[in-house]
Amino acid sequence: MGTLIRLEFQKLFRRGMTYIGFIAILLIVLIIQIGMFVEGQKLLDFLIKSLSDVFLLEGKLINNYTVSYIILNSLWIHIPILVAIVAGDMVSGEAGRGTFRLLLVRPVSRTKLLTAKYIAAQAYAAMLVVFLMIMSLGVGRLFFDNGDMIVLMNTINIFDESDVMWRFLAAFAYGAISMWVVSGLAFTFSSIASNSLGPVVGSMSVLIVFTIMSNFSIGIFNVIKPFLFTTYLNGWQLFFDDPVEWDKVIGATLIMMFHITALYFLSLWIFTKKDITT
Amino acid sequence: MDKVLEANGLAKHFGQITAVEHIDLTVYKGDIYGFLGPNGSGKSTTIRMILNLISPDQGEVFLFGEKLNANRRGVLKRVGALIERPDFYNYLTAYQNLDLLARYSGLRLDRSEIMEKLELVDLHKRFDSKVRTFSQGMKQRLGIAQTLLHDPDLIILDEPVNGLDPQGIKDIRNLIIKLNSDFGKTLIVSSHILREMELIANRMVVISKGKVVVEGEVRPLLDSGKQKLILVTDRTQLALALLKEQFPQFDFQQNKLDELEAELLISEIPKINKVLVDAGIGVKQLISRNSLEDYFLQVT
Repeated sequence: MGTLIRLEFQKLFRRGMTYIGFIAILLIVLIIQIGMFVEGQKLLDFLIKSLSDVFLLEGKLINNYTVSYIILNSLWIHIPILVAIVAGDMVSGEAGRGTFRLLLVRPVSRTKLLTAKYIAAQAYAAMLVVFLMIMSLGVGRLFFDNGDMIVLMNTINIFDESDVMWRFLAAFAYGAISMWVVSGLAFTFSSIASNSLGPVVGSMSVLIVFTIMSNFSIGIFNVIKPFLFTTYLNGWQLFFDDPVEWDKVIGATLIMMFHITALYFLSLWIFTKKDITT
Repeated sequence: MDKVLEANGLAKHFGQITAVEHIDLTVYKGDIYGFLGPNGSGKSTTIRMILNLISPDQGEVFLFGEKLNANRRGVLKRVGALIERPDFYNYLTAYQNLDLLARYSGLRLDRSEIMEKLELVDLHKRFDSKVRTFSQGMKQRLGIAQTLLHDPDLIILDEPVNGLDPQGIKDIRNLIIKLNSDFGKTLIVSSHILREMELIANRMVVISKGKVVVEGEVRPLLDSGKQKLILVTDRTQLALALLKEQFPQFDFQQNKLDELEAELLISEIPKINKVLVDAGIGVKQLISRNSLEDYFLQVT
């Protein structure tokens, strides 16, 4: 099994497509960081204009943590696409290229092969999230100092500098889990399709439809909303609430883990029954 | 003789379409087994069922006496296969592709072992080239090299000469013969280039519309029917008149090349020759031909 996982990684990282996600994150994060470095104070002044009349705000509020939070908010919409591009190609790409004919006539178990691919796809999603974390929190230090962090949600939360890092680490860990669901979804479509585009379009369509359903407060949607993974994709924000609602975090994590597991078994069922006709 | 492959009653439908209706096959150790059939006759589907790429709706496959579904991984360790186009990881080199595929087979081959396979198919000088730079013939040869990685007893080649030029076809033909004669491999080779199969196969099956039309040894099958006789003499018209008179049961015709031809039984050929020679007609050429192509067209 270890060999199969290594082989999947080798194939993954010898392809140019794999690096698109990293390059996209690198560029977007750098653009946001440079933009905030140059114009950030003006933007913040505009956002907290009304607060300034009530509160006395001291120190540099445009700091590494605030910018990282802004990056998280803006990129969380785009990362699923980057994840789906690679996960959606994991199985369908082999079918489309005809290389399954080479692999599956060898004494390799279909279950193990698919499991290795699933692990590689999920590891890739985690790597993207880790890269985002390094870019935002690590590279961000080149532009900004750390400091206290102000979060404007339903309430205004101001966190002391010493109370922020663990929240980011937890948010990124949660983010990785939510990206595993997206990756699992694209992977499942990939196990059905014979080209790479279909799974990306399919998983993005499901994501959009489910997100709409998650955000609409209409009778029937309210019934199914708790079971849709899209309801929990933004759950990383829970770590920037005070106090953190741990019951919600745990519940959301369990539901997403259920999705990740169910999507794996669904892919496996499809793949082991699949006729290789390409 | 040891049976390497036995397929009984294979059938496969894709929706309303019957790809394979009923196929029985037996391949013995040491065979070069020709697998023939017109396009769409079910050859590739059958081969895919033999290799467990497609699940049959009915029927069973036994490889080396073991039921395929009962011990898929065990029996596939003894099989190498190239199915239709030789599609590789184009972004990897020939060497990297073979190394990767060997490890998928659970093998850790050292450099010399992989180079040995590449040398066998005459690709050792291009071991470090990306497969995307290879011609179709080179990919076919690399395809055969990958079938040899785990030193299998049975090699299945589906249309291995498709899209090749005459030299490429000759190279593959020689390689197949070498694998059989020098390395003792049993081969199943499907092709629609019948002349090639006639040159290499000792046994064959012809399938049509998803069913076996005929199976057996190539030479007796070809010799069992009528032969086409082509005669070139120094006096065409006289020879034609004489043969029509002496052998009215055969339909002798003159073709535009001033040759005479007729379909007849092989046992009649010496008699025809004697009649012509006794009449003082010079026999320049006497060609008896029964090609696989003729046979194929007869039975399908």
